[in-house]
Amino acid sequence: MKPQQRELLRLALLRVLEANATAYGLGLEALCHLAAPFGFVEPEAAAVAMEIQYLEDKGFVLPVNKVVSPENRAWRISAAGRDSLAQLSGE
Amino acid sequence: MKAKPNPAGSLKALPEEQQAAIVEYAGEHSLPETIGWLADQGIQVAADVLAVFLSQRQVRQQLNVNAALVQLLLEELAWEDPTLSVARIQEVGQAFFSRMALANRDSDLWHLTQELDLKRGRLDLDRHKFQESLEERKAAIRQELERARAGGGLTADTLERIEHELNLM
Repeated sequence: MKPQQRELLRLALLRVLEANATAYGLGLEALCHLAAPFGFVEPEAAAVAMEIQYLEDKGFVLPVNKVVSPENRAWRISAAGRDSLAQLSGE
Repeated sequence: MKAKPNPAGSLKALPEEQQAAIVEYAGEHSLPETIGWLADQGIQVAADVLAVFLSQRQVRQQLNVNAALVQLLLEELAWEDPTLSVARIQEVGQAFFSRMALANRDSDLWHLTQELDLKRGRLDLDRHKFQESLEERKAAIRQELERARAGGGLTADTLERIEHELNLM
């Protein structure tokens, strides 16, 4: 994936996570599925995992703490993620 | 001189009723038509910005519906098995929510096409597809229930009751 595509994928993931106003986080599979309206139809899970890790390292997304099945990770957008998304989208 | 298009944030800043009206109009009209309609109201918006706004609204609505369904299921779970901890219920809810995020798009599409096809009399094929999709969704939820039971906290009676409820969906 080219750097520009990765940037767009990160943006798409932030948009999906921002759209989630529920009390739950979104897992990798769900993120892959829900990225479709933002230009990424069923992207490779490995690519999404890499970008979500990048966003987590940057503090833009937060992992949901899971006691049972922690391997099935889920994420929510952080305040910093919302700010970054607003800046990137020119909002 | 052409007005500068509004960024997506400006659409999100509109009152909820106005945002809902945009979504409703866009559901029945093309993107250019919607842009023209908004321009008539003094809202200049670029096509890509409007598309992102509509997509986010669509995803948000879908996830809100999913969360509401999960809440109903969890209330049933808690009622059936009061020994379940809040943390455990939250875990089960998260598992359901994750699975439903994958399955619901198909059923949403089915609901949209149903309205059109009722008029056209072409409902049978889509109903069949929806049933298949629903069965997949039920199977996924059953699988989560099995995992939840394996993880402790769910009794066989509770599981049976939930499975019964699923069959009624």
